[in-house]
Amino acid sequence: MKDPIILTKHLSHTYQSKHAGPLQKAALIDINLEIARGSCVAIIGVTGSGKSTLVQHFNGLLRPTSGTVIVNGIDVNARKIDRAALRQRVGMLFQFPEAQLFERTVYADVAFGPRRMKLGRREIRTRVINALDMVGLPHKEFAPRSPFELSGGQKRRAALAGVLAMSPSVLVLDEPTVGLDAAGRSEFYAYLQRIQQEQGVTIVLVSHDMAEVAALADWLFVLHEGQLVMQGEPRHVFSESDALRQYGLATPPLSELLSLLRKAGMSISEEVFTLEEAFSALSAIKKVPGKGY
Amino acid sequence: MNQAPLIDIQQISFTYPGYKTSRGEVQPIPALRDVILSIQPGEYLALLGHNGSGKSTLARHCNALLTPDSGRVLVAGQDTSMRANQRAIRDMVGMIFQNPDNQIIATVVEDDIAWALTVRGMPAALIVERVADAMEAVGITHLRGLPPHKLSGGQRQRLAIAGVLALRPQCIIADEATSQLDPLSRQEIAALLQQLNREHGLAVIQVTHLLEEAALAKRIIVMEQGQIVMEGPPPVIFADPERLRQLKLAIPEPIELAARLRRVGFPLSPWALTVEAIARELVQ
Amino acid sequence: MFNSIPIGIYYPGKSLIHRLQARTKLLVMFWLVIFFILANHHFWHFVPYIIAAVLLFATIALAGISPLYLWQRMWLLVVFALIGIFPTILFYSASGTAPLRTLGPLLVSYGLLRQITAVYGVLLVICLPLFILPLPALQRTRQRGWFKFARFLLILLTIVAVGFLWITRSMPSSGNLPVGPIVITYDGVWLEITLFVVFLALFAFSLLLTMTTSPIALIEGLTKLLTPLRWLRLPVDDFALMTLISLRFIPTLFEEVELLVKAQTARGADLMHGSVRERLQSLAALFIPFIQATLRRAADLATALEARGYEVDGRQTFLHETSFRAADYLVLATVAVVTIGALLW
Repeated sequence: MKDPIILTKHLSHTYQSKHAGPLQKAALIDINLEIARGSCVAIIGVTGSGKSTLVQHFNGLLRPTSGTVIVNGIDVNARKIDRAALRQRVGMLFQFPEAQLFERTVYADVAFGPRRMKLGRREIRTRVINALDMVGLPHKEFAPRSPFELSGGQKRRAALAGVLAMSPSVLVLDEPTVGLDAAGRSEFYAYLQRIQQEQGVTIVLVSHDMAEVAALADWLFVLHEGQLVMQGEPRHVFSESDALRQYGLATPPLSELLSLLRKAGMSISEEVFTLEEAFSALSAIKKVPGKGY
Repeated sequence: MNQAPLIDIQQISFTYPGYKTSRGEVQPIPALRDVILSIQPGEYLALLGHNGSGKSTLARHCNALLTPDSGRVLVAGQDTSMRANQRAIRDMVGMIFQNPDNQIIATVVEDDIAWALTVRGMPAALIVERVADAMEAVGITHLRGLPPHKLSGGQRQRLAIAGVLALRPQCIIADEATSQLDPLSRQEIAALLQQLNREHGLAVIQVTHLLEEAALAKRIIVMEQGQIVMEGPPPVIFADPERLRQLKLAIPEPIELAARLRRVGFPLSPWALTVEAIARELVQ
Repeated sequence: MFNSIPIGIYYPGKSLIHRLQARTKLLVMFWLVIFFILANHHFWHFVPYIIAAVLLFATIALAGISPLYLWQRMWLLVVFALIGIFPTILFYSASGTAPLRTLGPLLVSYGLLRQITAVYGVLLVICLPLFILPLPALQRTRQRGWFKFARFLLILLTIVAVGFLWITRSMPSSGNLPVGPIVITYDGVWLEITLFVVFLALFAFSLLLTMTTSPIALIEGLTKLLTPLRWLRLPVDDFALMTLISLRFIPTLFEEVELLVKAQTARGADLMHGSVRERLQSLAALFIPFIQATLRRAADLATALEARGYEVDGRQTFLHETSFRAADYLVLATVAVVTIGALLW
């Protein structure tokens, strides 16, 4: 891949602990991956597979025990690295980000990040307004309100705005829609895609939700016990439902259905993945009775 | 079926007390309006609706956590608004909550299940027996000595269910109990609730916004703005996807696919609502 | 990050001490405190302290806990206590006590002091350019943490020097400023050594208590012991529940705080760098969400407790604290006899 925005080579990480001694379990083992600029990728795996550990290397929260991580041309392990600059370039939203809201107004909370970046007041104002509009919280209405008045989905988007206002080139999201209902979820996806397209931000999702991943991601990385065991486009990764089950992962319900049908002998192409494609494929089979299952 | 209902909700209305917004306004929130519902013993019911539709509010009237402003709720004939009845009602109707952590209070799994029993002054020998039974029923006996922070989200919800089961209730209410769990844990809990309903005759009320969970119930109640807008078995409810979309509910893709195939003439039974069932039907 | 905080955590076991009721152990602790207070009044009476040490070693042996393990948890405290002894020995003085040794007053002439101050002043003036000249090399040095600390110290010293000169301006140069005398008395030494021993002994005993008693047994034992207070209308049962819930949530809170710190750090919150105002804002960024989360948690827990039928009526069943057994009576009797004997010897 030419000029990936994130590149890891033989990345390994073992948590240092006074008690465990030399028999500590490695959290990450020899991870080699590349993430294309402006794409949306997802990292999936069960709890404990190393997903959070992996993404925390991208913004410098963790340093590799061995191997290299290069983010936008910067080696995360280098001695003289400006950690603050790296944090700005790689924005991270943790689980239940509404918990991090604390200021008296939405404006002040979203401005927290840019203020730390020592920008001028006018620049901060522009960024906050753009960020709020970008996540569907029109600034005229929402900026003066208290963050604690907002609904769950709105709070979450306000937290997203807070990270966006720092103009990151990469946005890492850990389980971004857990706990939201269907409307909150589809709204969030819509704004996420808009951010990716309009601002060219690379999106890295860490998720359990296969339907979410199938809808948003261009490329998947599957982690299991600290190792990168599979990667590829969602339609290809999800067609391997047996392998995924071995890794403790479910597939999106539709893929599950298609896999059961294929196993029962129906001739549905491996390429069929979305609802529309499934509908066409199945109607075609029905229209020609006796075509054979 | 002329049994007396387990929970009889007689035209209740309820409004939450208002809260002050930053502009100093006090907004009363009408949460339930003229709701009539009766739940039979051993029934598996789903309360479906988007966030804010009133389903949690309704569920909390079933175990006397909330009492209606008008109308009344009878649980096994007892009025929930009378304080003297409330403990007996909560023995009969148990509840597990959305945040798996914020309902566990003891330092060790065994002690948490036993807690509600110790508070009632039951003899120790009886408590030990009931705790063992409850752990067996939910499958966490191997976790008995662990502290709660070492359990996964799904295991914590199972612990919560065990805590409810130890009281030998007649009904268990799952108030959005799976919304913070990962998909596999969600399936686990749904399967457990089904099992408890089938094998122990426990009535189950599942409050959810997920259609795939509601699909497991025998009867679905759909709520919107504090009122019941649809009621019936799953095939009836799922037959109208447009209406469900208007109610801000997301239709799982397999069900949507089945609906569209049915419309172009596929002989699919309307009761085929799980992935396995749909697959079986299509193959035939 | 917070996982490695080793306090006296419960280690399950089958030793005699483990099998005692929590009430027994609590009563013994309580009695030991009173015992030490009584023993302290009798100066130069070593027997109680020797008995206490014997009891301590006996308990360690009977509890099946390796002394090394206990030492690992105590050594830091021993060091601090030793450091703390010296100032108190030096400055303890009660009238009518025999002095062990007197470090005579040191007489320093005012003239000498003024000379020292003058030299300091000259040096300060010479170094002044370091603080002022805008050379890039110097500016970088000025940013360093140690430099700022040194600067703070120098300002303090200068103020003291100026203050000294002003206050003593009327004293003649040949006059003397007495420093001391420092009197070390026999009783002072006695007091310090015994306090040291008591402090460490009590700490060791309480470590043993928490290591051999599970938290819930402790809470139940305490509740049982405090039963009489219930008749004074004090909320003993609520107290037990509060303690239990607090213990239960400690690990969970640690995890939450860790996550919150990471999230706010990712936004640029920094407690170590930046102006005072910025650091206070970063503190608010950690503090306020934490309070919010705790309030939410309290509300959820209250609802859950209600749903599980929590009512306070004093009928609680205890699963971990049962009743006193032979071993408990034996231990209580032994401790009583031995300690009272030691006091009366």
